[in-house]
Amino acid sequence: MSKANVTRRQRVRSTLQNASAFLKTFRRSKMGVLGLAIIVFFIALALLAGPLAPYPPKLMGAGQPFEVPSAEHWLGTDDVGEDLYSQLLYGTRVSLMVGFVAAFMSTIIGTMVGLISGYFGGKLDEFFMRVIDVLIIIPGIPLMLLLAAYLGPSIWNIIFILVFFGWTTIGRVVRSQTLALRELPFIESARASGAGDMRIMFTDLMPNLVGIIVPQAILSIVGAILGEAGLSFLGLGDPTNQSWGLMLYYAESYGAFLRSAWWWIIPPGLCITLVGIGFTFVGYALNDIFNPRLRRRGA
Amino acid sequence: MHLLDIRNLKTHFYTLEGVVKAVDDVSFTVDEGEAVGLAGESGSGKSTVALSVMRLIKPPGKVVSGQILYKGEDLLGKRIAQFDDVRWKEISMIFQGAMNALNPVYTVGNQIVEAITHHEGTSSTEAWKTAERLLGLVGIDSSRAHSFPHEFSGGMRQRAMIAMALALNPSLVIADEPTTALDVIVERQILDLIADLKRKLGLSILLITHDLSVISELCSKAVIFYAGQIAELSPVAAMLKEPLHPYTRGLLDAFLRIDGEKEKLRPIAGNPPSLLNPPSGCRFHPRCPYAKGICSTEQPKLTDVGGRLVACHLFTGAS
Amino acid sequence: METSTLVAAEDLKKLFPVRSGILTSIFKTEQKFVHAVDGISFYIEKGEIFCIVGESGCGKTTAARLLLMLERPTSGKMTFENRDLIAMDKNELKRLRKRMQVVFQDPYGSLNPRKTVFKIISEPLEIHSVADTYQDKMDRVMKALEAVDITPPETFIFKFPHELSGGQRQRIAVARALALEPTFIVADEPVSMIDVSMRVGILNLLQELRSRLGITILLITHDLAVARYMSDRIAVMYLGRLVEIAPADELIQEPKHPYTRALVSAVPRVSTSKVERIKLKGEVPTPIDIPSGCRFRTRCPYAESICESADPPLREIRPQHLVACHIA
Repeated sequence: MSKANVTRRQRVRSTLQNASAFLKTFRRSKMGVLGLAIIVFFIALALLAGPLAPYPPKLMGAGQPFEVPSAEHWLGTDDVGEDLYSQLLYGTRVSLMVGFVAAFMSTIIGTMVGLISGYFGGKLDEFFMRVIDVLIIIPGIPLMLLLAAYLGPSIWNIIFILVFFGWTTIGRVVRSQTLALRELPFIESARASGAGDMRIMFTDLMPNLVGIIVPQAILSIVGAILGEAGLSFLGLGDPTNQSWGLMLYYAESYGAFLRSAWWWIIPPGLCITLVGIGFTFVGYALNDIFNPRLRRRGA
Repeated sequence: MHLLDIRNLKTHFYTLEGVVKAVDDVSFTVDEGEAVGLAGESGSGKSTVALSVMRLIKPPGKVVSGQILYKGEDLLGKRIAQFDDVRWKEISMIFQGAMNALNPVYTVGNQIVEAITHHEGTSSTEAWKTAERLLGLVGIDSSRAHSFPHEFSGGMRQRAMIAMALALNPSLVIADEPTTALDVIVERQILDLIADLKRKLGLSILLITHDLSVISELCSKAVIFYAGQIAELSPVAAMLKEPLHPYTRGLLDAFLRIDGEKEKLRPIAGNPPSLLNPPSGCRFHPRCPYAKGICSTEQPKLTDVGGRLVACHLFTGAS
Repeated sequence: METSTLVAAEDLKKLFPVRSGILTSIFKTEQKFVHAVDGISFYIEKGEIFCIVGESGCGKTTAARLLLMLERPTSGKMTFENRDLIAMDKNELKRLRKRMQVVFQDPYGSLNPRKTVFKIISEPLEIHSVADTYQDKMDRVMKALEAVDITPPETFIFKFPHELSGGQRQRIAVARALALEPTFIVADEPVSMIDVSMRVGILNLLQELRSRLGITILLITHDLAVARYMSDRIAVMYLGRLVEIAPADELIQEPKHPYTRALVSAVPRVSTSKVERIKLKGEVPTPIDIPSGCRFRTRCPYAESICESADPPLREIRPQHLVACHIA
């Protein structure tokens, strides 16, 4: 067997070893496993919303208005008799989707800005840092409201707003890590070997940034989901879609609070909280694994 | 009676990966007025011995067993409050990387004074007088007592640490790699200073280092550490002339000299041992050019060879 | 210049501007500079092991970085294989980098922790598009590993740096330097962070590279014993200048410059014979404010009045032995 084949097999083997080591460590984190379970549960709900929902979510008169939870309507009905359980199921899709997409885009933008800013330094760095400062100083929620009111209610506008404000955290984190790594000897070695800036940034620095980026990205999903819920609750959401935040908006607008229709209010709020917890746990667990500076020790 | 008598000391670290046997059954003594050198490479456990004596081992580390007798009394048996009488008053320590062990927001004089007043409750004026005298003793002008650490050079900071270690007139000073991070000229000044102070104050010194030439200059007795255990314990001159343990021989064969014949040196084969999973039997056997069958199965006990101690099957009479 | 010269530097200087605070820039005092490298001239012959020795802060690492073009000199000339390094354009410089490589001091920081040994060593090959196929890359990497005594190479190829010891990591760093088959290697304190028992292994390896492959080596170190063991010629650096250059044995046994003599006498020795210690007074002056005349005069036990007024040039007092001193 030629040497190349031998080593290719070894390479596959070592990659598998690393992957299984990672899974084993992850499994040891109770927080991470719990969080992952929650996330998987909700993703399953989102995917299976169609077959699981007993009624079309917007079917008025599926039941009596403000029905208490019963066998026919597990979560009761809203003011026009729509089945709330179905609404909740379909709402999962939008909430999760907005969370993932907004977080993904924030991560991409934040990583690019942080990496380039931290690596090149100088005036470019100054510029980006001032931009981030401005975005952070301006009160987020009022500005979001303004933008949302101006741009109009659409799911993509919401995602745009969330990304517009959301990339700054990852941007700063990636920048500071880049600054720290930039001075290390192995980067100097790469430069001495003749590596260009692009190469150093993407093949030398980036793999070392993944450990910071991934946990941050997961945690930013929480912000995105909460952000969407908040905007929708305030009435700036997309009425053509279903989301948990919108459910709360309608609940508030159509008197659920006055009528103590807890079955309309608690379930969406609970879902938002649970999903938030789920992603937070996973984010923290990943942070522990990738950045074991503060690892706990035995007796 | 020995000033310091360490008997069968075991200090282990209980980490997530397993138990690290940093000090594994170590015994040696320091007599009054004697300078003993603890030689070994990084990770051999020598610093841990010093920290054990000073009772500075924190979890996940723990002194598992053994005795540390100081003037006959077991330090490990004392309660913390009682140990305070010993710490710094009888035994003090110059830490590794001493330059960074000084608090940057207090003046150097202040830090010495604090050490004095904390332990002895002397008046502030008395303490300051002592502090200035100590600084003079280590070659720092007393006017510099009101300077901050960052205003001192590396060498001066090291001297300040030495002054602090002498603040309460201890009998035994433990110096952990006192010159490792220093440049040649400054290293020379510190070594000369330590030798001078030892003479003047009648100090006993436990010197921890990886540099055999430092040991040969300052110490009369050498304890060679390997993988948490003692490989050889011997008067320095005899060890240099005729090393017994293969590890000591290897160290001397790999010793870079500035004097003497220029010859091709030979490195010690293999890699430093893991203290988590040390090799079976004699811990040096994977790297030893003289290893026999028994070396991988049975740990050699320290054997007396003409007044010197060696832990090697070449001398235990085993075949 | 002789054709056997590989590298040459002429009056090389590197000054770093001192960042002034708000107050100083308001009062517009003169811009101050750190004279890291303050006019050094030397040459390195092909196949030679040349060492620059000095204490921390003397500028030796900066000098090495200048030669590698990791920093641009403030003034002066540098040539490699008789070609002007400073005047080169980017592409020519990149091509040249194939022939000059570096090994750094810190075995723990000089390897990318997220890359396998294979990726680390093959990176230079990729940068210069040297190997076309995976097989070709693999062959070269294996060859480099064997050259540094990492055997069997197959077991190490996909390991990560944290799975290796300090000495092994340093060998990987050397293997990386060898991947492009360079003619010149700069080794900056290659063993100061490695355990004593393994230092000689790395040093012997570097010597072997010179004897077997004819690679020229510039060694930077603060350790005189290492310098003596390795080098053909040693240059002593103080506060940005070379104060003495001589063949290794001659420098150690018959040093002429007071600083060199102080250094040599200060090294702890194993032999019991008494060494005449040259004591220096004071501390190293700051490189921002270089003393007038001979910069060493503030600490020199033999300083005379001429030392304050005139800066001694590096003169040849014996064949191959140069000293910058009025008195020597």
